[in-house]
Amino acid sequence: MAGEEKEEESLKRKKVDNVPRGMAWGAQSFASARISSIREKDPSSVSDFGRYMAEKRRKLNVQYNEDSSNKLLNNATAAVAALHSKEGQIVVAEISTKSRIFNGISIWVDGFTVPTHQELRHLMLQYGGVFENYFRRELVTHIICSTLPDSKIKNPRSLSRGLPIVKPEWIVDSIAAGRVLSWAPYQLQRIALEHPNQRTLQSAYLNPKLDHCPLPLDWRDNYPTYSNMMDIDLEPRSELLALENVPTSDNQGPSSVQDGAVNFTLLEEDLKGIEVKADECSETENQGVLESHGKKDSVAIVDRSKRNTGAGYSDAAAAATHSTLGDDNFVQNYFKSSRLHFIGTWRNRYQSRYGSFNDNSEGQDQQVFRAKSGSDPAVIHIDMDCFFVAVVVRDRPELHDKPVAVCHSDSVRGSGEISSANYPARAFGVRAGMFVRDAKAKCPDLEIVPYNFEAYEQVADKVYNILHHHCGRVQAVSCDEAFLDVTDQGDPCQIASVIRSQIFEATRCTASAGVSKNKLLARLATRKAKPNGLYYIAPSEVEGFMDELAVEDLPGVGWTLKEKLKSHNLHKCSDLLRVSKDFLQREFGVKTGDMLWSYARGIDTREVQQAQIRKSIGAEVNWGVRFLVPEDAHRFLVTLSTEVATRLQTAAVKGRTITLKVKRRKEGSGEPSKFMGCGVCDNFSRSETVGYATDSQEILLRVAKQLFNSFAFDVRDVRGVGLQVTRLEAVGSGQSLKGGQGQQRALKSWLAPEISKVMLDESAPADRNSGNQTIIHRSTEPLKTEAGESIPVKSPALDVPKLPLNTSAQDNNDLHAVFTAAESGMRNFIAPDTKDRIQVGRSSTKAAPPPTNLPPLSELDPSVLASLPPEILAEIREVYGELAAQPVVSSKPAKNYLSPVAVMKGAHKTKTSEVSNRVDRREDGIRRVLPLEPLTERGESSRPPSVRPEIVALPPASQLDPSVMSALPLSLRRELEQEYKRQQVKKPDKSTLRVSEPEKLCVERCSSTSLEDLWTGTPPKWVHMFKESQDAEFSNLCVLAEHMAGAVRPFSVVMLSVLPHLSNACSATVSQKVIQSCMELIKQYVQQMIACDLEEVCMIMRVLKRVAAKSQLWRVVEDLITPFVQGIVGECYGGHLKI
Amino acid sequence: MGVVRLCDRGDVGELVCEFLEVCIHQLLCVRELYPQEIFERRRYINTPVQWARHPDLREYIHSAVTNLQPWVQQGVVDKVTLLVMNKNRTLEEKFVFSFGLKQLSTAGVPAQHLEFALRGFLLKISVSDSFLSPLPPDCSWELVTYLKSSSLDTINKDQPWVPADDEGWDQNFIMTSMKSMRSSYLDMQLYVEHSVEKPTDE
Repeated sequence: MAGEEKEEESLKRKKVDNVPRGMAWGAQSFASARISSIREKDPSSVSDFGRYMAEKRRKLNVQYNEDSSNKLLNNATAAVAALHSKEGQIVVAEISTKSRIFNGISIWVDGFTVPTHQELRHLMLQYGGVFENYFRRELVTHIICSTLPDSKIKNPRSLSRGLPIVKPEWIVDSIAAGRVLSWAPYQLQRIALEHPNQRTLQSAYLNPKLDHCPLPLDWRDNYPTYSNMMDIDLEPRSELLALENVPTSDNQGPSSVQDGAVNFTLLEEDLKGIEVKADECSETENQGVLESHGKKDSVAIVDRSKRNTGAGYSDAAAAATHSTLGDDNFVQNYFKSSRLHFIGTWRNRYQSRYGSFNDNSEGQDQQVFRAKSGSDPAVIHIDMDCFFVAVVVRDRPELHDKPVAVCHSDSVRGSGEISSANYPARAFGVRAGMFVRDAKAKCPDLEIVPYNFEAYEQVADKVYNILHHHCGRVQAVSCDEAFLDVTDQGDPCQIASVIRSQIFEATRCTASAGVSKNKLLARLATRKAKPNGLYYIAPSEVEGFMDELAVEDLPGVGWTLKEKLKSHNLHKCSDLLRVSKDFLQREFGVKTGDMLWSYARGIDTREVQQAQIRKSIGAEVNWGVRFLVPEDAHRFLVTLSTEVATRLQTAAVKGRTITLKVKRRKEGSGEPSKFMGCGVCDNFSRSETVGYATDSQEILLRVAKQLFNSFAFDVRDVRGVGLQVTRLEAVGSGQSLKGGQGQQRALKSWLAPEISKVMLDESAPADRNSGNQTIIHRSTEPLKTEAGESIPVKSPALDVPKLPLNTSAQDNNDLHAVFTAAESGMRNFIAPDTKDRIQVGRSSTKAAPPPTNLPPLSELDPSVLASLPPEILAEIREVYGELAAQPVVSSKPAKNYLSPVAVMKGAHKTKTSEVSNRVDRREDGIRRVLPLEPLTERGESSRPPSVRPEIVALPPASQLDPSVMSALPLSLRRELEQEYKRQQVKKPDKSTLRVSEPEKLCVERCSSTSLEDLWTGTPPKWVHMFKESQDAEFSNLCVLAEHMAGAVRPFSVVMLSVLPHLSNACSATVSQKVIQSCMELIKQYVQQMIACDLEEVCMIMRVLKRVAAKSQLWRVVEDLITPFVQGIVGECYGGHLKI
Repeated sequence: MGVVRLCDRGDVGELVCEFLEVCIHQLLCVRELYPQEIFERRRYINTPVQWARHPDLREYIHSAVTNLQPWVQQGVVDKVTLLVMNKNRTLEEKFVFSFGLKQLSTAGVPAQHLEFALRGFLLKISVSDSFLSPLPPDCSWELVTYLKSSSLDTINKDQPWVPADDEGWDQNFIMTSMKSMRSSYLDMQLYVEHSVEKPTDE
């Protein structure tokens, strides 16, 4: 204590010395003069000095408080304020209302300021603020100064101790504006500039304290409070703190305390939107501030909703601990305390436990069994009574007969949602889904208990053991609810009651059972049976039972449907009986109508199903999802994909289709009432199919990121993200779980000895996927090779499956698959692209080809042919004119432009085209590329325009995925490139998408390293990325980034200007990471520039060349990048750039 | 005819065409497709340029470019090329002006801005002989325009422009970027394509 004080005092002394004499208020006062003489006499006597200071502070406080009531000062301050503000009149007007805008603000002035120390003191006096003569971290909220010495600039924290350092204009302008302005713009510039990190930190953690409250005047006038820092208590299971319990030490107490004018009932009203918490810092501060005011309590209130609409998102700092922001283990923790997650994973457990059992015992012949049985069906529905509560309560006898509810969080704010309540609680009107605070309002004695997932698991297991013991056909609906099909097993009521008693014995939890002839009725019966009862609806009673039932009691009738039904004056099931099925189907849709019609009659044809094959695995988080910057979202995706990958691995399945669901805050909707909830959202989802089933986190992540980016949302609006994997396959089996639907495009399926299937599979699976029909034209004109072209006719796809977006990984994989096929001599396999097909279509009409249903010869795989049974082969030969069995030799096209010549390329190209086809499909329809008809002036040069389909099968260069290209063997790539160039020159493609397509793919490809979109934004993203990088390795880029930051000059110029640095800054060792970063940087820049600024591309390459001459790193980069640049130039312009 | 100073309201399309015309003259002169004697020095946007004196030649260039103007304004023109062919009518060089005329704000573009940017092109053309090798004697040239789509229906019958065969390169070629400009209203590039075989450097 003493040491602390000593330290503090020495600090104080320093400060005092800094302050020019006469500036400090009270220096001339008698008391201080006297005491200062003491100080001079005996500066070393610390204990005396400490007392002296305490005394001095006290006196100054007294003086200040006296002054603040001194009306005479008003005039002087008004003059000062008018002098320093642009809107003097407003100030004067303000004064008359005696506004106290600086209530809660305590400033300390350091050094020379304009307005002066004295004037600032007056202003603070006038406007309800506190002016501290001596700096104390706990008392001061803002440091005011105009200039700072360099030493302080270098380490502003040592001066400010985390407090904002603000220019005096803040005070003046705030007065002029009549409210406390955000201090951020008034931050001392040098600090703001030189310490961006500090700034963000400060703004993140301090901003909410005082500045986010551009509170409307009326609000403040009515409730003069400290608009102080609010923070949030959202410990999911924090202990209950009574509201009156004003916190003294720790940081979860609500420091919402009255201050004269604020009365609590009012607060309560607001509290829905108000999250109050005093964290350690603000706590002490409040107390400090209050001390000086001689009051007891502090009030920390911020109108959340107003704040959020007004001040935007940056309050998130408060939520940092409990949102995706700042909590790296958020996803993990989220799922730990999520009930829904428990239910979901429980199902996994259940399935792995009983799934095999089901298969063995009855499995598929359930239907058969059902068909044979002649007797009345009997279904039991077992539902545990308030399972989540009961399980917890059974071990706590003191809670029996008390209202108890389960909630993930028992925070005082009561913004947790009740997930289950027992019957005593329900008697009070407590319902699942209620906010705790509402529930408490209804039932003040409500006991909130946390989940006990282990116990749930045990109980559920026991229950299901019993159920399975009694019945072979159990459909688990959830961990506490199941259907049993007990047809032909004796009296169902008997069985049900035995089950119930056994469950109670085993678990000390009660279950209710409903018995009837089908699932619907059984479930409805259970409702009657609850709690702890058994209800049987005999077939004869069904009608009477249903008649009495309200429509909303039917399963599947929610609020919306209920309202709709009500609007048709249908309130009860008996009303439904009056209307026809047609009417219902017309009004509510075929399925719903049918459901309503049959349900009203107690008909339910659904079988009691055994464990269903799971169709998807995923994870979704829509609580606490808050992002500030895209990086947050990406970090979140990392954890989410890890979670999903783990689940996939646990379930021993892999999936092919990855779906990303995103909840975005609905336009205009404010902060949700449920704390950190998702609120009103628009839901979006996109999916992508990868080439092979995966459970790898990397792939999931990459795809997820890509999908996420494709939404192009403002990440701050994202309220929930889900990642789901479908089209599952069991690990190892390689078989789709669905099975037999030809979903899987494996080589095996290609080899199926069924010609139609071969053809289907062969002729560009992409076509099949997108529901296109392929009509084949076969040219009758025998050239060197047999030429066949396919002309796809677009049929309006009726049930187009989700279009798979290809990714490079998939491409590569497909490629591998194709390579395997290619090894066996597959030479001809062509999937022509749209554009070319159009052209060929034109030219092939000249040849008048008879349309057949066969794929072109070129699309047949000889290896497949080879494996065909001889008779089928013979048939094929017949059709294709004996050519089928011979490998078709590729031929260079002659100059014969008028005949379509199909040049056969290896399978690799096929793949490329196929890949691009699929990518292309997305825009298909819009993208109808017509061949260009160049015009010329002079008549002499006008040959009739003719189409020259040289290599018809090639997709336009724009659609080529460079990654596929680069994966090809060199010789093939050269060949391809040459062909492209030739084509490029022959028919310049005018598609504007030309550049964007490969660019996109490229960017996507590197997404795994977060090196994407480096050039988006101003200044470009990479500037931020590397500028702050402390990594010595990135010094190169760091230098670049610094120069790029404010520059309006093109990159090449910037690079040139830092040329010496670039070559110097290179460290001895060059890591792959750095090379890749540099690569991507330039690569993406080139991609961005290629279409519009060849000169810049040229420049950048030249600069690169110069740097490369001096630096190892850049030499590597140049070596790597040059082929890429030439490639992309080739794609775009068809030539080689002279660098 | 003659060089017209730009009117104040600065119709970009018009200016671009005018500028094209100047560039063509300039290129013809620099590439020595005509004897130097037929050119005279003039000033265009404050830059000295060579301007052909032969009325037929002038008329040809002018009519070609002015007829292009509506297309440029519509934004259908992708690029305008000047093909230089040797006496065998094989391509020697191809100067490509590629355009991206952007959506103009109603306020229009200050002519000075555009002129300032375009000046760079003219200067670059005047020094293009430094990075291009001399042409063989007896070359001919023609103008070919590439439209963004085969919007033949938009072409009116009186157009002197006729459909052309694309005089493409049979093999690899080298492209040298001469000048690019990017702005909010116009992207323009000038580059030259020439064949590989020739020693292209100085």
